[in-house]
Amino acid sequence: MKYALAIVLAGGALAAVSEAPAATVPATAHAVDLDRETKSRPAHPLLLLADSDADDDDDHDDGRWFSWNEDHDDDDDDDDDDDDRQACDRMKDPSCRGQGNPAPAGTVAPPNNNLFTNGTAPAVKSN
Amino acid sequence: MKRIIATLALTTALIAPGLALARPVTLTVNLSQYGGQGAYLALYVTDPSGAYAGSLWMAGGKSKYYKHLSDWAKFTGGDVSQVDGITGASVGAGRNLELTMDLADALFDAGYTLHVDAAVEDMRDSPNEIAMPLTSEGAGQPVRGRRYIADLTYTF
Repeated sequence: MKYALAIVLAGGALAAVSEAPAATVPATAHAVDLDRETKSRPAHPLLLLADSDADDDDDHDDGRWFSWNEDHDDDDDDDDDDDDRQACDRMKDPSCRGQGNPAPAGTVAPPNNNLFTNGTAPAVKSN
Repeated sequence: MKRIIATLALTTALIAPGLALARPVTLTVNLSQYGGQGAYLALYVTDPSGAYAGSLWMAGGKSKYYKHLSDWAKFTGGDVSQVDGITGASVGAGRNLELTMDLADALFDAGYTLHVDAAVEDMRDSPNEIAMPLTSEGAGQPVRGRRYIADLTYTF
């Protein structure tokens, strides 16, 4: 009887020991994983993206014209301009400015800035 | 007959001073061989106090690049209406731009200054590439640019 009781007690003790870690270790491990993930990830990924943009701005501060390439990265701007030219020909319709660009010479009178007389547009030659 | 003559005399007296206030001016800009794409150029004038008086020409039609003409952009806030009707193509390296325009006589020998800002794709911006006083004596005298412009001359 004592032997049987000892076996029952030993079995219960083993079961209790084996269940307790089974219940707690995964929870602990999960907590540790979450903690690691939280620490390993950037706290604010969007802020890091903003930082990389700030680096680009620094390039601009150097006074170098990087925006042409950036526009190609943006990819659409120049293409859009071409599309706009096709959709809206400013030489035929001076009121059609598109993209916020100025009206080309010859399509509208020069600005009334008191530099030009009689509103005559400059004549231009380029080679 | 006397009435006609009187009318002619009166109209001549009214018109002549206006004609005297303008003079045809030719600006010639020669670009150096800087080895890059076409240059954007902003030609503008400041008054004797250094304040922006107005633009004479914009070489380069896409306003999104005007921020690189930084002094012009500061003076105008990038307002494209300042160059409506006086905008043409950018100017390639080694090429020249010749502009002929009727300019107000009052701009000369009165403390006004002609400025040129220049910018080229993937190269350094060059605000105030040239600043030259508008004087009668300065006519025909080429002035060298700092980076992209070999020289600029204006003649009457």
